[in-house]
Amino acid sequence: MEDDFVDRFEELYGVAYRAAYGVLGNRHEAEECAQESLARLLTRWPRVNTYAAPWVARVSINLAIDRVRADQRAARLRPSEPAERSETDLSDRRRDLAAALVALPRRQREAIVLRYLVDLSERETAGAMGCTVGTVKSTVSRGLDHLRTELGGTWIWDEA
Amino acid sequence: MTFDDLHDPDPPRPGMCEFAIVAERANAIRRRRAQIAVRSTCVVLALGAAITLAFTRFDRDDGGMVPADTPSPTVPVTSLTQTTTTSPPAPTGDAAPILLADASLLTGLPPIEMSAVPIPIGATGRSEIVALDDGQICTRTDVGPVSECAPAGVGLYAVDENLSVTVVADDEVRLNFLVVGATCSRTPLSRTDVVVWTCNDLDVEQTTAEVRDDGIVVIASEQER
Repeated sequence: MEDDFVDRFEELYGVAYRAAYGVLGNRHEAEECAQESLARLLTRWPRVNTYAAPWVARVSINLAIDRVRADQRAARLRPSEPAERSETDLSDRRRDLAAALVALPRRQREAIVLRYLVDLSERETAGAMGCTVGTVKSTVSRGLDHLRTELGGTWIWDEA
Repeated sequence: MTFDDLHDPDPPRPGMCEFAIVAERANAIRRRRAQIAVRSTCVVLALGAAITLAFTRFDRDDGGMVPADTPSPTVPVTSLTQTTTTSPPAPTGDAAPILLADASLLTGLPPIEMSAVPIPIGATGRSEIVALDDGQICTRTDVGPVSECAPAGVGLYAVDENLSVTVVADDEVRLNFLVVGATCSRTPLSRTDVVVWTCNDLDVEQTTAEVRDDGIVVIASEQER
């Protein structure tokens, strides 16, 4: 049974890593999230192997969001440190995105993460989520509407 | 800013090292789950045992259960007592008092079930009750052979145990002692439906038993009345 897991390990690791990196922007932390989510996936493999990609993406993005929140709590407790402007901006954007993703319904968050953070095509996203391409399009569209409302005009949205 | 700006331009390719880490973490998760399952099972079992013990004690306090091997404590009684709620079938015909010494066959209850192990009576333990194979219930002392026996089917009988009177009754018999100057104690016997009353300073030849219309058996001392 777990031979399937070995076969798909590289693919699923990439899904988990890219999902976490999108909100963390830190390679080491993203790898931590990917490894933890893959370990959880392995313990539940017989039950979730049919929808492993969205499952592991969801777990990984949740772990990443937890880390962002923990960092925010820690940052509030320590004096502010000077940082380069561009780095601070990007970190802020990632943090804003994490907060906005949390507010999304689960299916919309899965679709956005798989489509834009994991960078799957619409067809691949539909295959991973077990739905049609049309459903992916509509779900992503609704998710992006939410994100536009939350994040404002500093983002350039591409639904193509 | 677009989503493309969030991607890692050079994502790592997982190898055997990453797989080993993941496998080790999975094993750690399984171990934690197993520990939690064991602890949960222990908690559930402990709770179940505690609840069972509580109910057992509650039943015992209520007079329903008695430990199998431990003699029940003697309950001192002064004069008036009755036991259970179920009325025995009241005998028909003559309801006049009879001497307690002749009280066998008084109530006509089913045979009293007793264990094969002799049961001591009173504080001295010199007398005991034994059940014979044919259903008779007998009392005997350590100084002599079987002294008194009640035939099978008897719900009540009395035996003079040296200076006291012992009354053996089915637990369903509602005894009411109208005895002044005597001290009676009630002893429910383990593994049986038998109750033993032991009354000091009472002469069995002067004591009567009477089944009243309400089914209560009244034990009274002729001398004290």
